[in-house]
Amino acid sequence: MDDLSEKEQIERIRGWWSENGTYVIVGIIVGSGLLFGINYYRNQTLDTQLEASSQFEALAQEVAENRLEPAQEIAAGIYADYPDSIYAAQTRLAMARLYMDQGRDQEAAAELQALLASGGNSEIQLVGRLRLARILLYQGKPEAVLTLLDGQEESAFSARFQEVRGDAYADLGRYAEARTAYAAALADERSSQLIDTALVNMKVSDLPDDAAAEMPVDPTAEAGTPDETGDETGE
Amino acid sequence: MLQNIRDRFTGGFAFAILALIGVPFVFFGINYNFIGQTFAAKVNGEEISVVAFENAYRNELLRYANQGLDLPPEYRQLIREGVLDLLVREAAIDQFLDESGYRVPDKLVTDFIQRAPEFREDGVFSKELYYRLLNEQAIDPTQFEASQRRGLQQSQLQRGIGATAFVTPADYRRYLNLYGEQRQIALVQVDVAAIAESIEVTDEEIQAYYDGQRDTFRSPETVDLEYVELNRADIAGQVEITDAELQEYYQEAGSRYLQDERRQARHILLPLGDDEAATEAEAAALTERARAGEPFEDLARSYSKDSGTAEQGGDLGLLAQSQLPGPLGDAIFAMQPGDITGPVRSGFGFHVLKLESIEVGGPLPLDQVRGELEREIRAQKADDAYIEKERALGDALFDATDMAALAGAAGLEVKTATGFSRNGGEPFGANQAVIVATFDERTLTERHISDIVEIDANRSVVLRVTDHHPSAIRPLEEVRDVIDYTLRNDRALVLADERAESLKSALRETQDVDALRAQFPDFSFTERVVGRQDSDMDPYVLEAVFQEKKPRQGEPRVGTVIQQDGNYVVYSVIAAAPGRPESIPLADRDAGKIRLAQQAGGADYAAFVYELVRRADVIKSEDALEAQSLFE
Repeated sequence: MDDLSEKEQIERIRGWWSENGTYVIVGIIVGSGLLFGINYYRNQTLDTQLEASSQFEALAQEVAENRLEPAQEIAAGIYADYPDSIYAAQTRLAMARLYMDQGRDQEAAAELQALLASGGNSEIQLVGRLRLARILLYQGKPEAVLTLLDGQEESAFSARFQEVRGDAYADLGRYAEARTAYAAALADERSSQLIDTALVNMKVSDLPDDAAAEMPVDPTAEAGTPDETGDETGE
Repeated sequence: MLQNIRDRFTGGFAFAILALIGVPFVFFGINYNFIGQTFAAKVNGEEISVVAFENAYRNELLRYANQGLDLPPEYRQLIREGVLDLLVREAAIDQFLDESGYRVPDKLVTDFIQRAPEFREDGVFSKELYYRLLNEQAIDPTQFEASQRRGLQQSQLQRGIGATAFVTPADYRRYLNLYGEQRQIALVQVDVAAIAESIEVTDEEIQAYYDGQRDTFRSPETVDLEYVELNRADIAGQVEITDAELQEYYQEAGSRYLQDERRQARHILLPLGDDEAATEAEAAALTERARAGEPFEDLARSYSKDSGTAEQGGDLGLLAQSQLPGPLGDAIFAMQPGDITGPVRSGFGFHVLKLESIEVGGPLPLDQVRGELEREIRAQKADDAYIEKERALGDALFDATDMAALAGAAGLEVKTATGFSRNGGEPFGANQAVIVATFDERTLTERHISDIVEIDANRSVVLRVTDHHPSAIRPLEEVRDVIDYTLRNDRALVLADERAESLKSALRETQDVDALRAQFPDFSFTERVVGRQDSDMDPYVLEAVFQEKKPRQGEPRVGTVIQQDGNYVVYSVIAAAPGRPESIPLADRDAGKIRLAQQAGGADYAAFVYELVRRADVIKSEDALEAQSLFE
């Protein structure tokens, strides 16, 4: 290359440019356009996520203070503006809790059903499913609990699911199945971290013999319907 | 230089070299083991480095060490596994936070940091303090802020799951029904000791039992001993120290307790001002006034700028020269008592000085060091006496035939011990040297006096066996009481079982406790209602009562349990009533619900994190997990 004079070099570059210049310019335009687009998209996403995060913090504050109306307002905004964000999912859980605190189990259930509506089986949806099952049980729908939890594949939530399932079977008087479900919950290798094992053991020994058609003696016996129990716990 | 390489790097030669370098990568890939690095675990392809793992493991060990726990090696392996699992969980959480788009605004991070009490001075955030503290700990502020941001993101997730849990009224009722359950029971105790008391055991039965199990009544082989003991503590206690000895020792050792000469002086200090000459002149004038007879104390109070001493009339106290370095010390230690000198220039300023008194240096008085000297003399004399007595014992052992002569030679007493067995015995405990020497053929059968046996550095003994009691079956008279007790107790347990059985069937028949009392006048029945948490019930009985299924009408659940004191208790669970929310005050009810909701939230979050890990692709390096220091 040292052999070429400056003039020759310039000549060569010119020739190359007249041949390829257009491609280079188009390439640069397309490339920088893409780069700009990606950056813009990223910044947009980041901004959206930041806003959703701030909205969620505001909501958490309202929920902690048990203020329904402002919480509903913020939640509606989050559902409308960031419907697919993780914060929307967390808002569903938080609103369900707030409704339960206010004794409005229908609306709590609706929030959790909305969380499950997308059909997926994400980790956070497992949390929602478990809590919905508890509400259904409270509403006196043990059959619905069994349907909701039916076909749930093995997960880290299994022990917790099995306990609710046991409660549902017990409510239905299907004691053998209740016993199996409780036993499965207790058999989980992490049962001590995931369930109150002492309580589940009590539930097991509280189950009547399968042979026994009659109810156990309870001097103060009363049938426990959800409405009654609700009143009695001071809700 | 790079240009050079590039220029030469052409043609077939370069290609060959490239190929040579490339071949290993083709076959093995870029393996970090190759350069001495490897990973402890991989979570969805993201590595947890061995360094991070080892650091976390070391911190965990440190935590145990700080609690004063020494861990056996098999626990260390468990801890390594636990620490790696923890790092894997953290990595899984971090990845979830990133993928799910958890974001925390800068404002929240700065607010959070500014609220931390560590970075506050007089209640306000201080930027300087913040940077200084981080700098001291060698923490990069950018990294610190990133870690705080991460913490806040994690908190959003944790609150989003943990703080949104609730307890339905049905769940709470179920919980209270069980935990607060009350059971109506009837109890009757079968007193095993009382039954044993009432049983007659004949001499023939005792004889028969003794004949049947003679071997279990074998006594151990023992010897009786006489011995001479050499004990350093005893000897030290007997050492007497005369005044003459103490005095002599003080003369020799006293130089260790030398004290420097000390002088008491006063001073007036005038600090170096802008105009040194003026200050010096002022000091010179003060010197003249002091020399002329004005009281030095008054001048010091009025003019000295040394606030620490001015009030005391300039008194510096008793000081050695080593405590007064520089020109000040030189001046003071050149003066005679009563002298006034000045001005003397030091680093502080100009001084006017007056020497009050001199305390001559030299050895400390005997009374101040008596205790220490006596201890030293005592230890020395005890050492000498110990060695001397040991030598005397050794010499006497050559021709001594009885212990009294031996003891006399060393100025010691003969003592005796009985019942010393092959497992040891008082007063030597289980000391192996003594046991071996005692049960040596020469000592045991030929009754020779033993050699000197060293029990420990401060205790030696010479012993002789006076009597040998071979292992033998103990005579019936010695073991009669034991056999009597065993026979009574065995039969009492059988009888107690029988009575428990008849009480059980009676309790099954009727729940009318008064009728039972009439039927079994020798037993006392109790009726009561118990809860799971009742602390005034025997715990074994309580557990048994609550493990019974709920009774049905007219069908009490009856059973027997051995309570803590060994007596039998027959119980009948007559009725069970679930715990009722109404029986709990409203405020406690709410507190209980909140606690249960928190518990549920904690369990939900635990399950959530385990599920993240379960779904992740986790590879743990067996090598990293098992790697141990060669010194462990």
